[in-house]
Amino acid sequence: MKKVSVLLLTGLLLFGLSLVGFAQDTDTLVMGTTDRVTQLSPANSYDHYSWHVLRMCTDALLTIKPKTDEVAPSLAKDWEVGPDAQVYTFHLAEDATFTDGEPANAEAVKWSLERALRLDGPEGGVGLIKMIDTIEVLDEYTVKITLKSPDATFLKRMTGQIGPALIWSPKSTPADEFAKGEFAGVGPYKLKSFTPDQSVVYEAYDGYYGENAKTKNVVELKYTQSAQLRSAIESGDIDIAFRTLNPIDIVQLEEDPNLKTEHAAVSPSVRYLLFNVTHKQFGDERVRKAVSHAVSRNEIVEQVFSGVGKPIYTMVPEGWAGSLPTFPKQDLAKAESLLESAGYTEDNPLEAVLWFSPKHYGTTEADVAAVVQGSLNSLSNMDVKVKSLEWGAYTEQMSQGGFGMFFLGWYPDYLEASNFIAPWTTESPEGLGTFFNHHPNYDAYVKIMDTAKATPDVEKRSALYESLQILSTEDVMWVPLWSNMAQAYVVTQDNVMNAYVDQTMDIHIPLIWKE
Amino acid sequence: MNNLGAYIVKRLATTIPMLFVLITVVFILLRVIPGDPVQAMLGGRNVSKELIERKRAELGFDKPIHEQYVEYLAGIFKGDFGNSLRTDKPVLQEIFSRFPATLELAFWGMFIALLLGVGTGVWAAVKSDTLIDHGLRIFHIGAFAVPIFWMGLMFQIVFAVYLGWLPVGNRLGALSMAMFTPITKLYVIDTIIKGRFDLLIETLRHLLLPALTLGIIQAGLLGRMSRANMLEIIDLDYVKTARAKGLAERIVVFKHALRNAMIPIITVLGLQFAILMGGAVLTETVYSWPGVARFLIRSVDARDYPAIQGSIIFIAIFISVINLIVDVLYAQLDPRVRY
Repeated sequence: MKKVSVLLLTGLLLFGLSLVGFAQDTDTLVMGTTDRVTQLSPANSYDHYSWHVLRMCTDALLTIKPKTDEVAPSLAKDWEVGPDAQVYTFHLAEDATFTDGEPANAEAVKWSLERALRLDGPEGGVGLIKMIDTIEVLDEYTVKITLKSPDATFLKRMTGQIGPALIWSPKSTPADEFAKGEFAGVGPYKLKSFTPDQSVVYEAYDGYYGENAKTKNVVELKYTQSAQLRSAIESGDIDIAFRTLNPIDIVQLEEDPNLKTEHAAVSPSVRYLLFNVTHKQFGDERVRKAVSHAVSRNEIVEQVFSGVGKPIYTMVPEGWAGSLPTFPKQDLAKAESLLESAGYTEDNPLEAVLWFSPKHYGTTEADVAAVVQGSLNSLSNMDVKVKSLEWGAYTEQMSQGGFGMFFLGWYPDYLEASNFIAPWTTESPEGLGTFFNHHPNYDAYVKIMDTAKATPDVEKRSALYESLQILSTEDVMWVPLWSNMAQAYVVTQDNVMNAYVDQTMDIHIPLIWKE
Repeated sequence: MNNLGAYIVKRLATTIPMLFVLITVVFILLRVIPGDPVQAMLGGRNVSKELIERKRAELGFDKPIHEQYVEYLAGIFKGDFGNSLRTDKPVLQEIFSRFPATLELAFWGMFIALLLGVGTGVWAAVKSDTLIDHGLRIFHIGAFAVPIFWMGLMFQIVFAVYLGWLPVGNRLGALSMAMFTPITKLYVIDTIIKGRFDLLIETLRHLLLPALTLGIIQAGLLGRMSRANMLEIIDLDYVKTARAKGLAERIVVFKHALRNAMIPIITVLGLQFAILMGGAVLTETVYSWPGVARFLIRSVDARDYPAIQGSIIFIAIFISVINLIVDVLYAQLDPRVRY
């Protein structure tokens, strides 16, 4: 027995001696995330992280200038916009080559965009560039794109923010099927390996036409839960923790002297209440207005998100061109009087249901619903119950008009105010459950949105977006609640330099290095 | 065919109806609960209803359930479990690529469970009614009662965050994961085959906390069983005779008593494996362990029907095979058992 004990102790001791952290070298950056890749197919994926991975491996014609929402050159060094915002001509960089050695010229741009339009995967975001009518190669480094109708938002849709706008090599990317990770790009990194639900590994591309990546190797590790992501950054397993830490963890990590925390000034990840404007209770505009006066955004942000969030009073993110906060702050008296005018009294309160989906937006959703329920039930003439459904059933019910009042979230496809107004009003009002196409003012929204699309001048376009936000405060198909700041935070080790999140809600990994 | 062969064939034959019932129940349950995979995939996005219908038709979910069922069964007979809706790759390929991770974790979890459970159980029996016995009994009950996810999180906080001794999760460190190409995907074996003892240590460091979390829960039950069995056997005449003959206590306990006490424990090992797989679902989630159980959880979230069905069938077959092996071993250990 003694011998066994001695052997066991020796084994444990030897094992203990091996418990020494493996230091990471400065050539390798390790990022941890809870995000996951759905599919590495530019024409059939539509989520933040899949597009992040694709963007690491290639560029689009344009990009968003870091820390701004302005369009900047990328594969196209400059461009011209026709007077009617329907014809766009791009002049390409002449020294760009794909990682397979092929030239990234006008033919490749035409092939790549046409491929995306042709494949148009049902799970992808090709709809965002579907306004393209024809693509012409004017010379080896000039390409002309003509749209089906004027669209002043097109330049934003040609940036790397949009997965289907990314440019791939015709030689190494399958022409008639989804790429699923088989591609050659023109970006700062090459994809070295991708293991689903585990890791993505990149290696810097030496022949990149732009500024070379600051760090040679990048490994992105998938963590199942936010708690593990926190533990991993605290223990030094990873250099960067990005998307998504729990709000309370962020607050505590900000106090950690060994770590650095950065966040975007504004988060375009917005959360809101939606109404079905044809619903028997919420079809009454006064009821919807009452709710918009009753909710307390500050309580949501403070009680549920520990202050890691911002109350919002318009759907369009603060600071963006065309953003205008128009929704009222909490006014319970006004809310009660609106309900009274709709016929609801203390003896005959409005009995309604508030719907949410418990997991799709993280684990905080039930708490948010409880806070909003509390605000609404503080009205003497309202009695709200909370119900939930799993995401698949939730969206099915929503699109079938089964909900009167429900939560949803939005994340921009492209950095333009229209992307925060059109989806629920003019583009997919039924799919997204507002049924706003049955509202008397629907045609006015369509008209203003069409006018905005055909208005290249940013100031004039912004004024049109502002008018829509004023209208939405009267029609109340939505109630903007808060912007989700947790996704706008990045936490790094002390020796990681230049890691920040900007309006794109991404970090620019090629610009990050370790000291 | 000898008795053993006939027994194995008989056992396998009884497994088939069980699998058929399982497939049917899982298939029907998935389809009768509200919501569908296409809504889970595309719902809440700025997409048209036509696109959602197109995708539903493409995947065959617009057909009547009985037609889908017949098609699914026909596929299984051909070895085709369909493609995962999330990854668009064959379900079997997805499962096989993750199975080594689960197997490795389950093996080491069971190893720790046996070592810790039987070891402390025997010790408690030998030191019956002493302070050590009371302490170990508390440990057994506590180990079995503590929620596995909580224990996993506590281990992470203590050993990874505060002490910094062990990593938080995954099978290897980021750098090694990027550089190492496994052969069997059983990393302990692979690192030995390749002579990469640095990576073997790293593998064991990554394995320790998940295996310990999984093993401790099992150790609680095994410890209680071992103690009870040992106490019964220690008082039997043949053990008293061994002592009376003047044999060393170590030989009496380990050679004479423990061997017989192990027989009932072996019988429950097969069932323990089923519990172990249930525990793996939580352990793999807590430690970001890329195994089949985590794949199943992700698939449930995404309503990935083919992946859920395939994973459950695979786990059921795995547990059946383990139970069969255990039963065969049992007969080898106990000469009284005949096939």
